[in-house]
Amino acid sequence: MNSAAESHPAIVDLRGVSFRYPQGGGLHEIGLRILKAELVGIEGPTGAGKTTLVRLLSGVLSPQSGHGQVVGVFLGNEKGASLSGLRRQLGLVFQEEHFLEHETVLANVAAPLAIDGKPIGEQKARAMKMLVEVGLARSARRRPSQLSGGEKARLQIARALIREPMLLIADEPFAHLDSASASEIASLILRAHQRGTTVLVMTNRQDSWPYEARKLTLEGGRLRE
Amino acid sequence: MKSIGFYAYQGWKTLWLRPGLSLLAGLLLAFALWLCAALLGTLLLLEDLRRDLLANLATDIELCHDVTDERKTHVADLAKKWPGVAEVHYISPDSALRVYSAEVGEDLDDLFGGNPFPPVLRVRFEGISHLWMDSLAAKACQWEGVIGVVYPREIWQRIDQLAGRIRGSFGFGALGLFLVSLMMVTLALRAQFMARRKEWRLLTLLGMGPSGLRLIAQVHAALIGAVSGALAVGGVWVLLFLYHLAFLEKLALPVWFYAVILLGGIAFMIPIGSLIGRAVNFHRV
Repeated sequence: MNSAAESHPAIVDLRGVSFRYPQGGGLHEIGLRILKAELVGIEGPTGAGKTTLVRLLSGVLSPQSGHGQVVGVFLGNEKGASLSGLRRQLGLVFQEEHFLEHETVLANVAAPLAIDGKPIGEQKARAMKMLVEVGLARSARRRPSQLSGGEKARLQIARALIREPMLLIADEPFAHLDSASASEIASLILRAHQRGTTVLVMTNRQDSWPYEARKLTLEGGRLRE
Repeated sequence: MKSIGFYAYQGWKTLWLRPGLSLLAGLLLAFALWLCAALLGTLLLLEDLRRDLLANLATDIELCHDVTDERKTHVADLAKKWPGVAEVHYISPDSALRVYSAEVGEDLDDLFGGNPFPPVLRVRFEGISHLWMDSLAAKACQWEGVIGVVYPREIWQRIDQLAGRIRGSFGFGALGLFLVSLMMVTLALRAQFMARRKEWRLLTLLGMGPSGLRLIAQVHAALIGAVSGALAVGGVWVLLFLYHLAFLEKLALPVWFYAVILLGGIAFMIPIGSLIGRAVNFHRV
């Protein structure tokens, strides 16, 4: 482990991180270390705290105790600018459908590049390439609301990967998908990992994640190997 | 700030997502700007009128009959130093009598047994209030060789009072209406902006900073301001055209006036957009 830690720096390093919601539930003393280019799967039932962990890792929530860093940004004290910086290094796949509903599929995928201020030509070219990769090239001009559940999941993956992020976090990417679509999404995530992206996948169905990964279990807000 | 194009586009897009609210905000702001423009325009036109009238009104400094040329020149020099003086010229008793006799047809020499007109220094002003004139006249009466100062105080006073009334009561009324309209415009814009809250939340999760959110709101507000400013300018133009039709007299306002209304709409809305963008913090939950 030590030699691995030396050659692969930690992308995520949480130590004793806790967060409790006023109405109860949350995370309790989470310790999590994810090395560069690692593939980690966290499994847990609904309400175990998976989404809370994603929110902590993306800076939406701040740890109430403990400390941690994600892609070199310390959680909790970061100001607006460094939060944006953190999020620009992450690829997020949400459990819920989050899209720019009035924009095309192509514009949705290109949105992260637009935020980064990339030239329009580059945005379009890279977004189209990504759509080809996830098999949505034909839907480039459609609206997200016109896509099926599986296509929406692929759209989220395309948007998350377009920046070639340091860390891809997927929060229940297989939820509400049939087994064929779930398998396609898993393949896309795996392909990203094979290209060197560090991947963290949250799932409540271990069987939808048939690939070799370091598996952790989250239950009642506590994480264990 | 390389992403300014994307944020500007999102601001533009927000304008069209709830067109009813855009229309409401635009018309309200246009009305408020038009009201201010009408008030400002009236004051400008009144000021022109006042200047024209004052240029034709004269203040006469009446001198003693036996005033020397040196004294006359000295008093004229003192009068020229008054603020707002456009012209000072001397009218001799003989020329005053000649003009009077020619215009009225009476021989005042016969009537009074001599020329009753005193030597006069006639002063013309441009832009001075009657109150100021009172104090100048009181000072001038104390100068050696001066027997009195004659000026049409009442007309002068009425013009000043009218301008003051428009600036005062009408001005405050218009300002009140403008502020109420601005408040309603702010509420309409905020509702329109918040209608896209899910998308703003998504964009912040994708890495958009708080300045990006503010910029979107500023662009959105500035566009409403620009359209409203243009509508208000159109409204003023219609008002002037109707005046021309009714009184067959053309009124002209300076170009800068239209520029102020147009740019004023944008200038008022940018801080409002900034406030709206700042009030919404999706960066952290």
